[in-house]
Amino acid sequence: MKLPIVESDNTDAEFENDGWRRQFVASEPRLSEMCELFNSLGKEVMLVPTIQEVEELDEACKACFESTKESTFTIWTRTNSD
Amino acid sequence: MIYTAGVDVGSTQTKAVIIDENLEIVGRALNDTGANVIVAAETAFTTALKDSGLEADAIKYVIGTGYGRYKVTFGDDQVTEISCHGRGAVHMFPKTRTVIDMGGQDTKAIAVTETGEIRDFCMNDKCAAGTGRFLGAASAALDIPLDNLGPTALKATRPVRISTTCTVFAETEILSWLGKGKKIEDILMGVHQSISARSIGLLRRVGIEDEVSFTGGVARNLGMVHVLNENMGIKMNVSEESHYMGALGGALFAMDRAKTAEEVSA
Repeated sequence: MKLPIVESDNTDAEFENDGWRRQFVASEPRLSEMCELFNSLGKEVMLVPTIQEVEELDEACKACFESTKESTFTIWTRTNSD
Repeated sequence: MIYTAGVDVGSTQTKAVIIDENLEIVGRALNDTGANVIVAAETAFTTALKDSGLEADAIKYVIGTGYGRYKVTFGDDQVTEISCHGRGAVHMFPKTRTVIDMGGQDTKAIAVTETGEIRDFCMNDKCAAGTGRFLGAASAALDIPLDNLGPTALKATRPVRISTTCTVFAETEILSWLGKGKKIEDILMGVHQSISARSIGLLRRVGIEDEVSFTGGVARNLGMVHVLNENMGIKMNVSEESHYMGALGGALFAMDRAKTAEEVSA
């Protein structure tokens, strides 16, 4: 399964205006599993690199996410009715 | 008689359940996952077989679930733990519509249909804040066994407020409260309240629809059950088998497939 990774400068609000709902941050092996599960529920899935979010975190969380930011993604989903 | 098994390889512990075609549990096992996930799965399955008095060739179908499900090398197929926890919870408590599964590494809120199919779900962000790992940090910092955390927390009279949500920094904050002379039970209740707040946030995202069933290893923690019940104003379903719910769900999926295979071959 090819992961639906999207490089975007959009803010969360802009994604939300487009009908997307932020789910959670994940990395492999969870990431593929969660994408498949959301797809099976009829949801469109978009993965956004967490690099932008890392900049917005407080110092305590930043250090942790900084070390894995290349492999972590925020999962966004959208259903047909959104 | 058809027998099937579910093997749930979690980050901390591995569980195995064997059921018969009446969907009754006839064997179960639980062991630490440790470094060798394949061995952990084999050990759990072998121990569950011993508990049931059955031989391995009596088991018609085995489903692997949990984060290490692909390491269940003797299994026939894999199913996600979210699907398995949903299925197991509805089997145990048929009116379940919301499941909270709290494990060692993550917490999941799951909305299910009356047949146990997943309607929606969400889980904690990649970090372990608000999961069983947070309790592990408290256990280490206070040198109290995990099983004693809940009962100790229930003795609290003036709970502290744990401000950090980060598991890495939790130990520091706990020690800081100890240094200020706070009672262990009050600190522990603060830890439970912190986890509860994050978990209820997840549940609200999928919608808290009665009945709510609590599954996963942390469901054995009476303090966490109490705090979640109190903060949501409900009484969750908690089974003595809560820890085995993922494995049970796996065994139920396995039974579906075993029966289908029997019908096809008949």
